[in-house]
Amino acid sequence: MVLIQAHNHEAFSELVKRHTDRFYALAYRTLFNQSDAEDIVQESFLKLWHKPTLWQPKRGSKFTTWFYRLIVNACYDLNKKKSSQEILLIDEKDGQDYELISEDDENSQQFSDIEVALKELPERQRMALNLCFYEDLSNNEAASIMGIRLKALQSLIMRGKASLKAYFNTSEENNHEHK
Amino acid sequence: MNISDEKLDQLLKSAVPIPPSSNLAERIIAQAATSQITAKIETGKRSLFKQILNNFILPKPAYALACSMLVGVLLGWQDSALDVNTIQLASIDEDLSSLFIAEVNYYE
Repeated sequence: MVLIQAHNHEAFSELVKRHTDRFYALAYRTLFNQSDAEDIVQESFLKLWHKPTLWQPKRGSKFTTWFYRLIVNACYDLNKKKSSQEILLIDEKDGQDYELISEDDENSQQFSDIEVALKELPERQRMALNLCFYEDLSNNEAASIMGIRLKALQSLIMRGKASLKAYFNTSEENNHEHK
Repeated sequence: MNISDEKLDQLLKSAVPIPPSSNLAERIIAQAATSQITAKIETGKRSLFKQILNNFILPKPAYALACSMLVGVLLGWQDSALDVNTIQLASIDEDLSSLFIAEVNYYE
C-alpha cells in the first residue's frame, strides 16, 4: 500500500490481482448482477488508484476491511439509485410496462433457489450474512464494515437466517401441495 | 416441516456466484495505466493552459464585482459632492457681489 501511495503501478496490479475475485464475490452476492458487480469493483479500485491516500493505516483498520466498506457503500448507493429509478419508471409508465421490463431483465439470468431466497432478504440482512458466512469475517469485522454495533449485526444474521428458513419451509410446503 | 441449521448452511454454501469476466483484473490494471498516462498529458497541457488563464482570471469574481461596484459608487458620490461645492461657492460669490453693489449704491 505504501508503494501504491507512491503511485507504483506494479504494486497496484499485484493488489488488484490478489483481491479482485474476493471483492467481486461480495458485490455479486449483494447485487446479483455480474456487470454491476464488476463495475463496482472496477470503480472502487480506480478510486483507490486515483486517491491512494483515502486509506489511512493510522486510523487502525486493515486495508481489506476498509476496502470491503468501500464496496459495501458502493453497493448500497447503486441499490438506492436503482430503486429510485424503478419508482420513476413505475410513475412514468403506470406500472405495467415496467413490470415487463424488469421481468425480461431477470429472466436473462437464471437464479438458484438459494439465490432467489437471498435476493428476497432485506439489504442489510443479506450483507450481514454475506460478510459473516461467505467472506468468513469475524462478527466484529463485519460490524465495523457495516458501521453497526455487534449486537445489531448478530440480530441481522439471526433475522436473516430465520427469513431464509421460513422461505424454504413455505416453498417445501408448496411443493408437497402440488404433489 | 422445519429446515435445520445444517441444511440451511449447506444451501447457503451451494450459492456460488457467477464468476467475473476472465479479464476483470487486467481491465482494471489497464484502465489505471491509461488514466495515469492521460493524467500526465493533461497535467502538461493544463499547466500551460493554467499559466495563460491565470493572467486573465479574477481570483474571486464575487469580491471583484463588489469592489468595482463600491469604487463606482464612491466615484459617483465624489462627483456629486464636487458639483454641490461649486454651486455653493458660486452662490456665495454672487451674494457677496450683490451686497457690494448694494453698498456702493447706498454711498452714491
